[in-house]
Amino acid sequence: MDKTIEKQGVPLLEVRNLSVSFTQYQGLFGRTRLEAIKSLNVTVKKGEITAVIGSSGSGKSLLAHSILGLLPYNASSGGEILFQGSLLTEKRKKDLRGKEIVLVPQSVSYLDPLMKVGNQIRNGRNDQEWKEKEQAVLKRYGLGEETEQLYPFELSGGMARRILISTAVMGTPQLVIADEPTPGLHIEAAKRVLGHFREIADDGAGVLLITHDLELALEVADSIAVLYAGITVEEGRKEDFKDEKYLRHPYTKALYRAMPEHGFYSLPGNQPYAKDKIAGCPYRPRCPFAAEECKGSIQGRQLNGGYVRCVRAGEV
Amino acid sequence: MKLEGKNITFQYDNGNRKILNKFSISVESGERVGLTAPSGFGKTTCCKILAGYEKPDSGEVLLDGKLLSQWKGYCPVQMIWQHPELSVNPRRKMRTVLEEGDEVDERIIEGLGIERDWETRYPFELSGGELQRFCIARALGKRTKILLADEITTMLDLLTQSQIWKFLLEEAERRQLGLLVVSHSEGLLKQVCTRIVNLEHV
Repeated sequence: MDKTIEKQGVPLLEVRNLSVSFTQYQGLFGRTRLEAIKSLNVTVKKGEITAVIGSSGSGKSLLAHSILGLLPYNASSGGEILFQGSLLTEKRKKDLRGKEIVLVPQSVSYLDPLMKVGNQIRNGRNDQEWKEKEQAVLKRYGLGEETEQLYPFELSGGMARRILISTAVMGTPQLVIADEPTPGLHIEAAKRVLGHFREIADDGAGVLLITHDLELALEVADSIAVLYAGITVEEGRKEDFKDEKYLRHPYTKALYRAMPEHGFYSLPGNQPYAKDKIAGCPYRPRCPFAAEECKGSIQGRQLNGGYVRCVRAGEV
Repeated sequence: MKLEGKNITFQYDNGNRKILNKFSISVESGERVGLTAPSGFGKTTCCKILAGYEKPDSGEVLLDGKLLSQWKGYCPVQMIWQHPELSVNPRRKMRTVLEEGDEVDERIIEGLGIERDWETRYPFELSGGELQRFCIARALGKRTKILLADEITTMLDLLTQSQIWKFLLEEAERRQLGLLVVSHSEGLLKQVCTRIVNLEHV
């Protein structure tokens, strides 16, 4: 079945025009809708890592929660999410999560502090088969046999991270979603953790890597989606980041030039908030190329083998 | 002004390994010293000792030749921490963070891009980058002379990082501050520092 899917070129995961808004109550009778994600587009292919880059508040964690069906009760979403070519409904999300679609959470606090980690990796299953599997997984990540007897507080930051990955790969996931897997780790440890995601992808699964760290993402990812204020502004291949001229959106170009190695360029202003309700392109107030037409609605389009949402891309 | 750490040895109570062993470092007004090393080599510990938060087992911290612990009143050495969310009181509004500083200049608040309405919010209502701007402003009080910056932009996106550093470099130049910049990013240290010390090699 997988082969036919690959042949037809259907990506493993396709997020199309996803929007998420929250209903908020104000005062006694007021009610407002806060559009936290306006329009996200992300594609993950089998055997590849797609990195989703965005600063805090750009909506990247909400993206993960939407795919897993973990949004809070006051949220409503639009657009569509396709998994293996067919629509991911709320019921299907529930059936698949933890099995075919798994999450590697952001922090160690997702582990049960009162349960030995071995038991958490096996998810409570105690038969011989799962024990052997658990040992194999621990070994794969360079953790000793005795690790299973430890409680979470006894783990170092790097070990805890590897335990979180272990819990995710015990089954045979098709899609692994990693939400900021590297903060608090020093650079070598972070690279090692990302290397584990590379292995998972090389074994055939797709990986959605959510992070704010473009430099680290470029170490392992195959394609990059850049978010700004709840919108995917650009999707491109890793190779596009070799030179500014291959990049499509002015925000991505600014990110590129902000790297210390590329001039340490800085840009005044802040990412707008969801409540500011900016019409048109949210990057317009900071963009040096902003024009009159940027105030209207901006359609995404294909450009040089990637995706961009900017009316002036290609000309500037 | 000159901050000196002389022959500092330090070991945590629970550890059996000396984190710092006869380590010496100095930061003078107008210079920006980079400090780099893999994790676990005591970069943060070194900052904590130089800022007076931790006492070395042996060795001394001198400010203009006088023991830092004997300085009275506002400490001219201020530290900015890696995790802004852990460096502010979660139950007090952001305005109080600025009040904790030493008469923080309007110029600094504006230069860091702190917006007025952020001041009436609680820490959990701001992003990490926004919080860190407050923490930097707080450390840049009037009488601050030496600033210890411990991985202060590691958790921020690239544009926020360059924005904050651009301001800090201007401010350091204008007031002739001495800076100790801790980071694992070689590229960043090369951009902002006048010299770089590697803890691994001392």
